[in-house]
Amino acid sequence: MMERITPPGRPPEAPPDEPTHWLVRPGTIRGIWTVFALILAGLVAGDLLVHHHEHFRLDGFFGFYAWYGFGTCVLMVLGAKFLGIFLKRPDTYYPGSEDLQEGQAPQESRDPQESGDISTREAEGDGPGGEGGGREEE
Amino acid sequence: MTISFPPGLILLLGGLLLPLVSGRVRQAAVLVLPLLTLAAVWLVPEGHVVGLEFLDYQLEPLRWTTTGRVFATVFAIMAFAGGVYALRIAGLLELTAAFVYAGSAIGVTFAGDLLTLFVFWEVMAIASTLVIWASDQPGAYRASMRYLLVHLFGGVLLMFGIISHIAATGSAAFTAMSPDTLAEQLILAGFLVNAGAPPLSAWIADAYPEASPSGMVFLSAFTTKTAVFTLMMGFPGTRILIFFGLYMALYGIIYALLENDMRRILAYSIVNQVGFMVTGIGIGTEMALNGAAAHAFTHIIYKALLLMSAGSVLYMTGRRKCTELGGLFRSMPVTTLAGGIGALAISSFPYTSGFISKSMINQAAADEHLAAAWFLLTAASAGVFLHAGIKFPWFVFFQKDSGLRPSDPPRLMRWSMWLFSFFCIALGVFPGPLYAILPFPVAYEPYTASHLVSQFQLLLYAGLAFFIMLPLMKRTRTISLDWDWLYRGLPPVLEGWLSRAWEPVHSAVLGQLARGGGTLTRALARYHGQSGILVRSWPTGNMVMWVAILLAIYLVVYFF
Repeated sequence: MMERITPPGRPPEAPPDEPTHWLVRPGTIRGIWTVFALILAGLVAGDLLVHHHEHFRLDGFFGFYAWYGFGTCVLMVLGAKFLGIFLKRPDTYYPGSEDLQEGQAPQESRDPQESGDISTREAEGDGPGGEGGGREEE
Repeated sequence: MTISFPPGLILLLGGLLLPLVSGRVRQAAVLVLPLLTLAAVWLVPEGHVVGLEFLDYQLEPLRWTTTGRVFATVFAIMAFAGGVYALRIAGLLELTAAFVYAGSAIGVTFAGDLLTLFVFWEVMAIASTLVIWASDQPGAYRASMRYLLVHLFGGVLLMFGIISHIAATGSAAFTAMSPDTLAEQLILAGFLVNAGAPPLSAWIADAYPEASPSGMVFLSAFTTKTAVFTLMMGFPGTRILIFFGLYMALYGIIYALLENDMRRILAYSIVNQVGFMVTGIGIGTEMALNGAAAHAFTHIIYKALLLMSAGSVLYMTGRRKCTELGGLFRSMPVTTLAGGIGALAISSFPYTSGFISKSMINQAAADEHLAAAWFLLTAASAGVFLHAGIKFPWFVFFQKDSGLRPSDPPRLMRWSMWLFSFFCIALGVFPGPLYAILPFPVAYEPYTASHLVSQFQLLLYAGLAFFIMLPLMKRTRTISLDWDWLYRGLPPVLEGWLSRAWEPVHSAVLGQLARGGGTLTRALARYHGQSGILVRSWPTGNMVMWVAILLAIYLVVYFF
């Protein structure tokens, strides 16, 4: 008889002597950034070879999709950051969300800075190698 | 063999029978019912209509349309994969509710009249509430009640609209309308509530993430996409939908960028993706409607895949917040791969399913020379990669190591992720079969050199922006206020304000009573006080005796 599987509960922690995964070593991340930069340059160069059928005047400019994609994303991040000043609240803001905290927040954390007080504190570094790089999902 | 009943009934009634069987029979039913439904969807003859006389109305519980078949097909596929994913981890209530939910969604896609549509619409609302209710997440019950209130409200709008529409036109048929009178405007509003349109967009990100890991996989598929279907059938080419759609596309991105809960990020991105579809419906050309239908089809699959991946993380770690996750790629390779493929598909990466569908909507905006819509859609396409394509996998599977080493989830959950990963890539590489079943003939070639170069430029430079801006995107333990503050945050404020305003009156009245009504209060206390004869509780023995006496009297009376 196949029964319902219960969730495993607390996941195991990394063993203390675990070697650094090859994907997050600084060398690998530098390599990924190099390849990424070459691809980016190649894509813009591609505009020299490929003729785009322009629909509006602006989208006929050289490398339009590159700078438009980059520019609008920067604007969206800054816009979100700006709106966040007014919209962000601690995740215990609404009544009833305290029990939600209790139900799942892990009490101890490997990182001492993560177990400070609540409110809108920032608890996260950037990339594993210190650099923001690593584009593993491609 | 042909089918002359609504195919959704197989899932709906079959789902209701699930509690009556157990063990292997139930498991077989969970796998077989969606496949039977899928077969039934395709066995309905083209153009088939089943009419039914009800009171004075001509009902059509079954009306075949090409658009309906596209949606019904993907709903049935979704029910199957969701069933596989949920089979070993979901409770009976969730499975039953999810199948009734899926069945009623398919019921809507074959509804030829507004009354049939409304019945299935409301069954969906109740069944989906039960899916959330069945969750083990601590906030689920409250969230399910808020969810139900929003949908009952939408249902009331729809009901008023339908009644006025039938009263004015004398026909219950569900055909294309234009929102010129209040009746059609109410119907449109009812549909838009379920689509997650402003101002009621917040319910998606409020309620869905409180469902169980498997529950949210089901929820992501049906309600919003049924609304897309009804908008396509009821209001194609309604220009105001372009504004709603563009707002939703940008709203989803901004809120997802601010969000910390991984499944809430994906919930906001549902609004974003439905925004593309609603924009397409507003444009209303054959290319745009094809794009909207195709995008609904591919979206259901990649969004389910993303949520299966996120659900696996939640199931194996018990955590939902990006601040508590990270570095999971080391021990969850299958989940990471599935999340990555889903992320590429939602970002419309070439050779994934999102690319062959969304590009049609953008193309339609360009063909119609809708410059503002096109530029905003293109920006939103880049933004999808930002908030769902990179942010979700990055913060969950990569970024800083959380030190957790959970393994991949149990077998059936992995299999369903493999299945939908396969679909995401297969549909992207071979768009032909999907294009063949779309409502209109497809005159669009996604894979041209120009499309490929421009899409890769757009996405990879968006990716560059993400990693350059990464220091600005530190996760914080926050939520973001939305219109739902009006029904979640405002009432407690009002309550406090009212009770403060009432306080002087209250104490004055009590004081007056204490002074002037001494005799009265003493008399009241005597009979109604703690041991007053009129309120004191009687021992159980007395009760039993009186029941016995009453029964005896009854017997005696009955006897004579």
